[in-house]
Amino acid sequence: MTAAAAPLSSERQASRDAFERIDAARWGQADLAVALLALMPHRLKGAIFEGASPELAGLLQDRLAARLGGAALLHRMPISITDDRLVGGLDLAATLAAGRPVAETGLLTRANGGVLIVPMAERLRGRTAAQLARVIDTGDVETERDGLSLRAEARFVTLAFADPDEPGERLPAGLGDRLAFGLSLQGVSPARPRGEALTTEILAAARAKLPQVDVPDELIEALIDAALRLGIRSMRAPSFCLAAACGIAALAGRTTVTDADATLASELVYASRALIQFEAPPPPPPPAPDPPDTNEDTNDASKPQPEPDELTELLVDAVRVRVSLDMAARRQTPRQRTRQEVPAGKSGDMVDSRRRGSRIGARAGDPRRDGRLDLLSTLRTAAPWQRIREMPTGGAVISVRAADFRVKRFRHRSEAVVIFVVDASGSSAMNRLAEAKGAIELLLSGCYSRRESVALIAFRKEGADLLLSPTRSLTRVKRSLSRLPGGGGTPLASGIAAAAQLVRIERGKRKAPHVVFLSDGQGNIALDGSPGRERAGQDARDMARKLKALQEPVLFFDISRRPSADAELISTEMGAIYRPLPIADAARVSRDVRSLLLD
Amino acid sequence: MAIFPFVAIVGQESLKDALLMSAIEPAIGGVLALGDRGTGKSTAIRALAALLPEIEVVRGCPYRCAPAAKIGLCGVCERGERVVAEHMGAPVVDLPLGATEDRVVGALDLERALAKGEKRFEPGLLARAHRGFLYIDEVNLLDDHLVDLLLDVAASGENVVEREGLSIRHPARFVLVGSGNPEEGDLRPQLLDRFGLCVDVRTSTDLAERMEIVRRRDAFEQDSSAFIKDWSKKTAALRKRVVEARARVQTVTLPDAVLAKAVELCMTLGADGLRGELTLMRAARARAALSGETQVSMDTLKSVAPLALRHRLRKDPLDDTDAGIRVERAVSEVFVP
Repeated sequence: MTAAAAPLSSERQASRDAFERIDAARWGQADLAVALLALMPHRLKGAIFEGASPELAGLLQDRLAARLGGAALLHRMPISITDDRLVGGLDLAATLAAGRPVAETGLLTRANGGVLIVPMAERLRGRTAAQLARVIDTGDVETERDGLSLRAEARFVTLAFADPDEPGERLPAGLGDRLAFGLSLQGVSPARPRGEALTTEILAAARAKLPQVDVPDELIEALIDAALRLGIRSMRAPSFCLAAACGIAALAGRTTVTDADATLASELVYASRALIQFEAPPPPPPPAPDPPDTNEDTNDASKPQPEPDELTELLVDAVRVRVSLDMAARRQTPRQRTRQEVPAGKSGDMVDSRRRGSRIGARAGDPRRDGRLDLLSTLRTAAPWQRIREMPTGGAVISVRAADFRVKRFRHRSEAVVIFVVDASGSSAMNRLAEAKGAIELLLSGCYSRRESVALIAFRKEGADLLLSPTRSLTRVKRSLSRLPGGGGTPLASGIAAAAQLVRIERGKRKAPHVVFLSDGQGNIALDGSPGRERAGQDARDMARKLKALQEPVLFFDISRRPSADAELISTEMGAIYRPLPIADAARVSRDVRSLLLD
Repeated sequence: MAIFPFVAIVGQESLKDALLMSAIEPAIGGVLALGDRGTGKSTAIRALAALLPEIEVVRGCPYRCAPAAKIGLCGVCERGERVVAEHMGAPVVDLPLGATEDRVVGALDLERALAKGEKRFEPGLLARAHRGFLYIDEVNLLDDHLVDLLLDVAASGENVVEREGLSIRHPARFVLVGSGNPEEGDLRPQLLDRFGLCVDVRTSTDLAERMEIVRRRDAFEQDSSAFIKDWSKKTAALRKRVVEARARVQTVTLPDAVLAKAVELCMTLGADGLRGELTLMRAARARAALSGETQVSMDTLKSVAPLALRHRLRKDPLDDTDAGIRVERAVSEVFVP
């Protein structure tokens, strides 16, 4: 853009101003959320901020700590935190020094009374998130580890920051449901925030006022009804919203909650939870708000819903507007991570399988031969014999013999993720996607004790979309694949690039990615979205080589009527196993994936 | 931490029923609660601790043996040396996901071993859950080998420990309760049907009911002790019903005609093995005892069928029909007047 050369048309200037105002408002709401958390930390539990720049994240954390009385400490949670660091365990060094078990407190216990910061929350392991969720619910940590049985109070405010690769990427294991607020700060620039307006006096006055705040009955009803109409099932959301509305009134020095308070509270609490389809381009004549379409449940739909009253409608509309603004902001902000080429994989992917995966226990063995020494179990084994063993010389406090050695057992294979990459272009798209969907469902329902997860990328028109982020849930597959897009050109290169990127992400999560292509190998859209067979073919081959460099198993189903040279070529470039599949057959795809890739 | 009273939970009737039935007849074999987030699954299960009647135990026994019992006692109580009885709250043990195996099954007492060189067994969570409930939230995220272990112990009623030179067995009879959200990942089918009852937990979409839920929650958070006190009478009344039902459940009769229908129902649904029939019978008896009946009626059988059978159907990945609806369909087929 050359702003200096041509003055901005007044129309564009106006739209820019509007965006700036909206951004200022979005920051204002984030700031308000943090003020409310300081006001009622135990009721509201925390917030998730999406797409916040590091500066804004830092500012929010500092403000919350300051408002909680300054003494509140910030505790950062690394996403790869181990269970013993999280909930506590045995402090081995201290145990050996003291000659008796000494416990080490975990992060969650230390965070008591303070603020827990969870960066990159979208990449949190399900298990870690579930443990955090439970502590948020109960307010205490129960440690049952390494012979220790402890219980400690752990009440803290959680500030989670997520930077989803794809809009709508889910936070694991219900963490989002347990935190009152979910706000997007995508594209809000760090320069915008103003100074601190909330004085300690205002906060103290609000705290004193809070017990007297009264909510009119019809407002409670509207808040709950609005949640229902936005497709929010969890009962935590309306509770949070009600509490937030009271907090907003108290901050304003009022003892009665007004409609405006309720509107603001709904935006803060409901927008991130609402189940509204704004992803698709809005249809030309916007149909009147049609509540039943947000409810997929058959038993819900059969129940005719009464007309919403005026107040409910006001709340629902406010949330809808907020959701569409967030969507717009997401589109405005260039997605840097998607296009940017990540350096080819390294960072410890090639770890010996004996040392990889999650620990599942210990067994007797020789650490030089059988893998990593499990120090704790070894000491535990040696411990009972100390009285009768001769003490070694040289100041050692414990006598360990070869027979005491224990080695860690890991789950043999790390969890597999099967990434389906499907050509959704042209007229036969629906057919092919339906086959892919069938194969995914068969694969998932067939994996009994196995624990594979499945993802689906479809490419069509100008690019590739992640239609289904890795999941093991058949329920989710059915929900998200019920409406699949199709048609348009064939951006094969983008499809391969998206697959390679997902492979890297999944490897980062210590999963074992496998890629399955369903394509005829003939792209006609280049990586940058421009049409043209030649560029498209070149880009596709480049991307295929990049995928091959990642050295993960790939299976290529050639879905053209007659096996084609193009498909075989691209398949070779990506180092894939090539299989012609002239007739669509979900059962065969699922069978081949199992026998060729997974077993 | 104050516990939300069981009787103040709005809706969720099948979950509450399933838990009460298991409290009356532990042989039903546990409860699996699957459903959306924020439906109060955990609330209901954790509330059990404050609802269930106290149990009588031998003082000083780490395994909580019953003073009056003759069989299924721990090694020490078997010799009959201890006789002093005391009361304690019914155990409801909440198994944390991060628990290690040694704390679940019990292990060598490290403190004693390090300090005195003494080999002593430190009982784990399984011992603590004896005669009560063991609850695992997000059961689909627990390590597979731990889940298998728990199911084995729950089925056999005895915990056998062979580790670190220890060889111990002690009674561990508990009702295993698991909860999870199917959207976070499906459960392995062989795990599914080892739970006696399976409840599909959904949030209510009734506005009035949802308002009541939010109101009660709000009142509880404002002043939990006053809230608990307000509900104490109802809690006591339900507790009394559970005690009476427990005394009565073994004498509830099951007419042959009802049993025949139960078998027919399982056959229609193609539920594997005998576990379906057995659970169905036990659940029907417990339900009858809870409502003060002395005999299982056809209606009682019908009402427990979805809970006892919905997770035992053969899975067809391409059939989207809800399992509960399939059971209800079979019920209406079998019970043609």
